[in-house]
Amino acid sequence: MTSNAAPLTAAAAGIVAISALAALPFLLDAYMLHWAVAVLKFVVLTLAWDILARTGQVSFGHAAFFGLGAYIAVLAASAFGLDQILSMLVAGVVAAGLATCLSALFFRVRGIYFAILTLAFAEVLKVCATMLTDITGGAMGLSARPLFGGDAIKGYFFILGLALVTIIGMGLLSRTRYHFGILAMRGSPDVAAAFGIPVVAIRTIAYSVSAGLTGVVGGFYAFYTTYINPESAFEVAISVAPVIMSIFGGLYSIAGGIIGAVTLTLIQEYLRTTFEYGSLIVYGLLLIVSILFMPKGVWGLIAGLWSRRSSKCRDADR
Amino acid sequence: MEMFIQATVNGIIAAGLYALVAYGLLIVLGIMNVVNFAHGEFVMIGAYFSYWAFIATGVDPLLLALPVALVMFLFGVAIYKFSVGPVLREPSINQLVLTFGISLTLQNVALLLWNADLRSINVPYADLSFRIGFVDIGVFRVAAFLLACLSIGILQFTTHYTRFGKAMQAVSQNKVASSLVGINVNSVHLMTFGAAAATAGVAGVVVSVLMYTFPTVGGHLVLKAFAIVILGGLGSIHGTIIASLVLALSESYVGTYVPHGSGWAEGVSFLLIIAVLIMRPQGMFGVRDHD
Repeated sequence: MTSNAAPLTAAAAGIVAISALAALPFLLDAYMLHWAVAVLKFVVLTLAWDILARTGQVSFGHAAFFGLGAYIAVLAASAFGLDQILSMLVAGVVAAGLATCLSALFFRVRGIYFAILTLAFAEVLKVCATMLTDITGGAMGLSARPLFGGDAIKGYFFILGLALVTIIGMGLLSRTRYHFGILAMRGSPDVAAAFGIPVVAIRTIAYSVSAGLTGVVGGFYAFYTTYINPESAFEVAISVAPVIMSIFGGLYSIAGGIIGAVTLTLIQEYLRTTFEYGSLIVYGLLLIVSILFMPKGVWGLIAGLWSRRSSKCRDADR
Repeated sequence: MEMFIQATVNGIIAAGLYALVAYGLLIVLGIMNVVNFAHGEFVMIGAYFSYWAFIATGVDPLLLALPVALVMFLFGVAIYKFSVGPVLREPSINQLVLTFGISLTLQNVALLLWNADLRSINVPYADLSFRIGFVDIGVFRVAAFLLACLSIGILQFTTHYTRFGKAMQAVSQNKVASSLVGINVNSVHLMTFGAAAATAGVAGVVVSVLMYTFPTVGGHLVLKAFAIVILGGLGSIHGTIIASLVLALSESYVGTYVPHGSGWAEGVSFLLIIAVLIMRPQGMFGVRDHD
């Protein structure tokens, strides 16, 4: 009986959550709506980053795809007159395409060396964006027309839709056999390959999807703020935020990613106005604390308590 | 020709600083297998120590190298004791993220306390220079360069000719075997981390003299040092020195000859990192064990 009830409860909770999220923009004022958009933006960025992390490769340079997406979207809309939604999708496709090409080169190294490689790549793109003044406007940056003519509620629903697609997609993935392939890869790619898991294909697809989602969010960011420059589009904080949010919330889990993104974005948005440099200091301290005292993140702590309680119940039943 | 020689001299002086920063990163990576992202912030703190000490006492900053190194040694030991040491057995990515967190915290606390101003030191003999052929070379810059070389020399001597240095080499080769022959691996790690922080302190003194002192100065330098370590490979000081020269000279030439070169020069180190990691992951000199 309980085994049938669990998915029903989950579905009911999901419906309640989605209707609450759909009602949210009509309840909040403009300022709070901006916070909600920021939270959803980081939910997508964090989960997108986690897709790659699940395969065992930790990127420190997702700002590369974010910034690229921002520039591509703005250029597609201004130079080719594309519709804004289409421009964001083009940005995602270009970012995913770049990641597909890069994966052949970048996955020759692992671990810390991969992390540094991605970091360096993001910096190279930033230098290019600064120096190729004819295309990117150099350090002066580019301005874009506001998203959906400045309609914040439409903007909210766009990023909410993207977040839901990401969450549901990742949820469905964990029901397929590829989920176990990814788990095995993370432990040891060589052993996984020996067992016939298509390690290279999974890694390439994971990197491309991860980069594509990040690129779409980059495009969204560009239209939402209406102005980008190399410093803001390729900001190191963009590369760092998903790493911190995932680790704080709990790596390799949807719930953990959401917890991390929501908590830290709210802290960051609050500190941005009240305490200069505060958000980055808090980021740094939380990273240290998470690694030292709760390497499985907040979700890991919750899940640990949960399983201890339920195992106690089971013992009591006996 | 004059421009070429000037660019070469500037490149060589910068190479001294780069090699010193890279050396600190290298010994921690080689012996503990930790990429210390916070190394750049150690350099930055050293630079501020040097700057404030010069403002307060007026003593030549180059003479302050020793006290700054001592303070930074203790700082490094404290960081190791409370953060890096306890997670050494965990996956290497945890240590990377941890040192990244330390770096982020220190950098932004520095921004908060001292704001983003560029600070520079003016010593009485700052304008003194001598001429070789057509180029003017500042005495002060040469002195800073020699300080960097001297520090590398001392480290080289320590690691090769002292009992402790031999213990460091042993630990870098095999931790279990080292502890079996009676080497206290933990204390070797502790001393190594402290020594790396001390070299960062000396590098900070050099930075405060050669460049400007500002909160993000270390972030720029540490990425260049990564490029050097990756290019030079682990386990050989020759590789590090050659790689420093390659990076510093190419930055200097790009800055001199390419139009708008100073902007592009910033990207040289990153391109080097990418090119080397993709084409020759074990570095140009020496071998890297599997990660």
